[in-house]
Amino acid sequence: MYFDLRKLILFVLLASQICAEELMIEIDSGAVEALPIAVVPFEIPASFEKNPAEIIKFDLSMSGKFLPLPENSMISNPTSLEAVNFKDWRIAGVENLIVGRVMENDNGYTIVFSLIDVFRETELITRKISYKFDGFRKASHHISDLIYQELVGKRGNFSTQIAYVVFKASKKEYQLVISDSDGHNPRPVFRSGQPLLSPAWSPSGDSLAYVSFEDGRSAIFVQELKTGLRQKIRIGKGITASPAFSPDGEKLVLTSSKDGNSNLYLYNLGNDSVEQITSHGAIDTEGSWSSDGASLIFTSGRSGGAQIYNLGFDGSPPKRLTFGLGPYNANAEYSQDGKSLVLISRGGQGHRVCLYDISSQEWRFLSDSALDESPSFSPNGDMVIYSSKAQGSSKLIVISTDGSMTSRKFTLGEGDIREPAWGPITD
Amino acid sequence: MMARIFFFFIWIVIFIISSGCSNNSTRTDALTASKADQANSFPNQGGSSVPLNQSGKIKSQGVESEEDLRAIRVIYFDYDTATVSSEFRQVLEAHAAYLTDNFTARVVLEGHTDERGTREYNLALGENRALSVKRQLSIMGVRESQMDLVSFGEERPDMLGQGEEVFSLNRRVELVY
Repeated sequence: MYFDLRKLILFVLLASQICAEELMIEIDSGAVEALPIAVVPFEIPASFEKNPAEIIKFDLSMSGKFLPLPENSMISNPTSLEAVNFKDWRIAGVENLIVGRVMENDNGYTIVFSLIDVFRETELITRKISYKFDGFRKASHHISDLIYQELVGKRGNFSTQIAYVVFKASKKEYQLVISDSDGHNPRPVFRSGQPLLSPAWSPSGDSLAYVSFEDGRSAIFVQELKTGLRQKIRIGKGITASPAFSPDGEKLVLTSSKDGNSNLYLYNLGNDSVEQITSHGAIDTEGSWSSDGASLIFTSGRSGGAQIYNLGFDGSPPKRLTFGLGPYNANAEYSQDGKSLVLISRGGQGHRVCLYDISSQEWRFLSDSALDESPSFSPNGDMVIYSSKAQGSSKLIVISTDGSMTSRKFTLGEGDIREPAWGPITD
Repeated sequence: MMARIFFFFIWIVIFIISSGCSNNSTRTDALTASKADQANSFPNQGGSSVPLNQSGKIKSQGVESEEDLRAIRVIYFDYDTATVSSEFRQVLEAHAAYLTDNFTARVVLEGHTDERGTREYNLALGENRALSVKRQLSIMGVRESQMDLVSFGEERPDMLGQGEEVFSLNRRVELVY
């Protein structure tokens, strides 16, 4: 069940220092059915090194839903509605146009931008956004969100953050890193000489839960991002791993092998109580919540190979969800509407990211590489981030879920990037 | 597969050199040889004359002495299973004999997997592999208090790289004294 995957690869090279944020972006090809749009370079103060239009253009491309017109195909460069010659844009086949300008003020800057419908010759949005000196990227992502909302009808995810693990082989160091959704502004929030894995965001975006081997064996740590305060969670002997916050933020589902075999447990963060919720001789792990918190999905080996199961909280036994999709299906996450799953499926081609429709039992592979891991939906479900291993290193890739494949890869100068988790919308 | 043969070979060599015939003190020394020595030694060796079957695993026909068997500290597993192959029964019996003779000795059973599949599933699989070895040793009389389990899943491969040869070396439980 392959779909023709039209690739738009934006290759992002982070400099070897994690604090540096010089990115190199390479676009392989465009998404054919995407909406033609033009983001005209904004009028900016002479001191500016970067134009907000570049950031907005990158965001819109990444979503897979837009095909921005290359700058060298623009006949004119208007910066306000009044200056637009509509004929220039109709000729270029552009349906929507974004124009704007940045002005200095006492506290920082103000961006005024308009989203314009070329055929009706009207403005769809005109907004004024003020920001302080360091808020340039944030303001630009906010504009992308507003455009996405207007043209797609869904909340954009460009102001969100992602968390991931970087392994630096030369230093033998694992770093838990948070960056903006476009890979910029990476900040390590924890470093360790021992493996780190499975970061999971709290619904508020204030904390991350993750697995760390810093004490010689797996344990979960919940880290408050603002203060850096960490709470260690270990349940009995064996592994304590695979955390996921409940949608209300009050509990973690986690995996423990305290009684010999890996089962799922609920850990109440308020009172530290633990409740066992699966009990089976096979492996149960990778618990993940439905968006309403009414059920969980998890990976279980109870059928003989890894498959995805659903567990309600009504006392009924776990129900298998994946059928027909090969012998190994793991690490699933529910879509926002609960109708489909994104997961890792092993077939003849290797371990790939797959979108699985629960009721029809139909599926579609989203990736075409051999060793893919850790798929995570963006909050609106229109994109998935995952990691892909090849030649001993691992990259992050962002892909759109609607079939027009858009991918973006991050590679570090050395080491590898893995275990991505897309953070929530926080404002 | 060759690396596994070398690995076994070097331990045989160490035994031939260090112990000659068996006595208790050299046995103990060999058993406490560092893991780093094992890791450093095997990739550079070439050729092998030790009894091996076609899969590179040891023969279980009573050819080896107990010390030879005990020098083997890695139990290998088939893909996606935690079942200890009967090939390793004599190896585990040799370890069990040592542990039941020496109540104060302790062993850590470190479970590992290859890199295929998801990290969390592999963490659980590594734990299950260590558990399988622990169960066998328990049946052979080793006390619960002498054994500790830890799983690293796919996080600490013995060999970097890809392909079945590498993967088969990484699917393992290490007995660490």
